[in-house]
Amino acid sequence: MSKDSNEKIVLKKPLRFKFYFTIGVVVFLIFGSALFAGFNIIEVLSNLDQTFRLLDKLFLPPAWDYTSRIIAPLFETVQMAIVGSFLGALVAFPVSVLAADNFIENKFVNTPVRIVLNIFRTIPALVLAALFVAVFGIGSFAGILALFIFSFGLISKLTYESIEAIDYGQVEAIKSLGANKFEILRYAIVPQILPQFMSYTLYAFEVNVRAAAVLGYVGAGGIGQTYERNLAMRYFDRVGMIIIVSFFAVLIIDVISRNIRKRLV
Amino acid sequence: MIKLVNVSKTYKNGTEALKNINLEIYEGEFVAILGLSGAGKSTLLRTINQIIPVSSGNIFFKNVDHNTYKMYGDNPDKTIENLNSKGIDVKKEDLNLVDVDITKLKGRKMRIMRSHIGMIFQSFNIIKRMSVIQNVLSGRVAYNPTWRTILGIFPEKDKQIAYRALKKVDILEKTYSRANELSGGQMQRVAIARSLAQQANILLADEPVASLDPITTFEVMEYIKKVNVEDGITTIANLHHVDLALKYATRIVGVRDGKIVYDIEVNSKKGTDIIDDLEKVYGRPIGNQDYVGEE
Ligand SMILES: Nc1ncnc2c1ncn2[C@@H]1O[C@H](COP(=O)(O)OP(=O)(O)O)[C@@H](O)[C@H]1O
Ligand SMILES: [Mg+2]
Repeated sequence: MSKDSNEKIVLKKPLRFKFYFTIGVVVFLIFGSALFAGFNIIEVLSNLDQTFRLLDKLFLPPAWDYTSRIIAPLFETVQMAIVGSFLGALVAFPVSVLAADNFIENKFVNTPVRIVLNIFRTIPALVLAALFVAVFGIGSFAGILALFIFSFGLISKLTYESIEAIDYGQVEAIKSLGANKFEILRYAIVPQILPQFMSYTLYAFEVNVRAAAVLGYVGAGGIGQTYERNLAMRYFDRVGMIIIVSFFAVLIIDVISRNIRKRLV
Repeated sequence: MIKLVNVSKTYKNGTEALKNINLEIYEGEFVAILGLSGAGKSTLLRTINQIIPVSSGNIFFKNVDHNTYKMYGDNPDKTIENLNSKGIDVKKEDLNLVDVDITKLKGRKMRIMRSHIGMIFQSFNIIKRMSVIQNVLSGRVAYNPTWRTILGIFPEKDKQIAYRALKKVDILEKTYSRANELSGGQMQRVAIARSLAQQANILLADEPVASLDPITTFEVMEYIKKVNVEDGITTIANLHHVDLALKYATRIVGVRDGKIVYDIEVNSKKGTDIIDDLEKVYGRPIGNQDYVGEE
C-alpha cells in the first residue's frame, strides 16, 4: 500500500462568511430598530391588562344601534376605492404600453416611464393621502386622489410586465398584415392582456378598500374619518362597532373580488 | 416578382443569420425552403416583408404601382387582363409601375406594401380570444381607416371578402366561432383565409404544418397549394419535410448556415436525385424524420 492512501483526507470547508454576515446584519437590524422604536417587551406585558380593558370597552358590547350611521361612510369608503382604482386603471393602461419594451422599442421612452412608475409605487397611499389633505383640505377628494395614484402605480407595473410576457408571434402576425401601432395594440396585445388587466384592477380595488378604511385617519374621508372622530370623543363602543362592520365589509368584498379574479385568468 | 440582392442579417447579439443572400422568385412559384433548424429560414422569410429589418442589401418587388403599392407581378399586361376579366377596371396608362425596394420604405408606405404580402406561421398566430370572422377581417386593416379597425367596424364589402376567403378554405360554418375553439388545422385555415382577405399577391409560410398531425398536414398543404394555383399567389414556404416539398413545391431552395446552397426546379430532376442533393444541404443523410410519411 502506498503511503498517501493512508493519509488523512482533510477537506477545507468553504468559508461561510457571507452566511454569517447576513445573519449578523439581520439580527442587528431587528434589535437596532426595536431599540430605536423604543419597543420593550416588558412594557407590552405589563400593559396587557390595559389592553384587555380597552377590548372590553370596544366590544362588550359594541354600539349595535350605531350600525345605521356607519353605512354611509362605509359606502363612501367603497366609492373612494372604486373611483380610485378605476381612474388608476384608466391612466395605467396607456402608461404601461409606453413602459413595455416589446411594444415601444425605445429605451428613451421605456426607462423614464418606468422610473416615474417606480417612484409612484414606493410612496405609500397613507403618505399620499396626508399630502393631499394638506394641499386640498380634509375630505374624500384627497383620499380618492391618493388611491388613484397608488392604483395607477400598482396596475401599470403589473400590466407592463404582462405586456412584455405576451406571445410575440401574434404581434408579428398582425404587423405582417400592414397594421399600425394602434392596430397592433388593438388586435395583438389587448386581447392577450385584457383578462390580466381587469384582474389587476380588481386587485387594486381590494387593496384600496383596505387602504381607504385607514386613510380617513389622516382626514381623507370615508369610514376612517368616522373612526377617528369617535375615538377622539372616546365613544369606544361605537369604535368597536366600526371595527366589526369594516372587518366584515372588507372580508366580503375580498371574497367576491377574489372569486371574480379567479374566473378571469 | 421578388429579388433579394446581397441581403445580410446580423442580429443584435452578433448572430449572422443571413449571409449575402441573392435570390429571385418568380410570379406564381411555390418555393419550398429547406434547411436544418437554425439555418436562417425564418429570418429569410421575415426579411421579405420586413418584420425583421435587413442589416444590408435590398429586396425589390417588381412592377409595383407607385401610387397604390399594388403588385402587378412579372407580367403586368396579363395581370391587368385578369383583373379586367374579373370586372376590376384597371388601365395600364393609369399605373406607374416601378420596382420598389421594401427595405427603403417607412411608415404608411411600408405598411401598405406589407398588406399585399400574407404570412402564416407554425403556431398559427391567430387571435384566440376573437371570433373567426374578426380574425379574417383583421386582414383588412391596411385597407381601412384606423378608427374603423380599432372599433372593429368593417364595411360590408370587406365582410364579403372575408366570407369568400372562409369559403375558399371550407370553414365558412365556423365564421362566428371563437378562434380558440378550433383545431390546429382549422386555425391554420383561418390564417390562410386572413391572408386571402388581405388580397395578398405573395404568401410567406413559416413551417405552416410543423405542429399538425400527418393527415391534417396534407389537408392544410392542399389549401396552400390551392390558393397558389387558383389565385396565383406566389408562395414561399419553409418546410422541414422533403416529401412535402417534392409533392407541393415547384422549386426547392436549400439554406445552410445563412447561405443559399441549393436551388432547383422540382420537375427538372428525379425526386430521388433531389433527395440525394439535399443530404448536402442538411449535411447528414435524409432519414425517416424528414418525411411526413404515408398519406
Ligand atoms: N431574434 C433573434 N436574435 C438573435 N438571434 C436570432 C434571433 N432569431 C433567430 N436567431 C438566430 O439566427 C439563426 C437563424 O435562425 P432562424 O432564422 O430562426 O433559423 P431557422 O428558421 O432556419 O430555424 C439561428 O442561429 C438563431 O439562433
Ligand atoms: Mg424557423
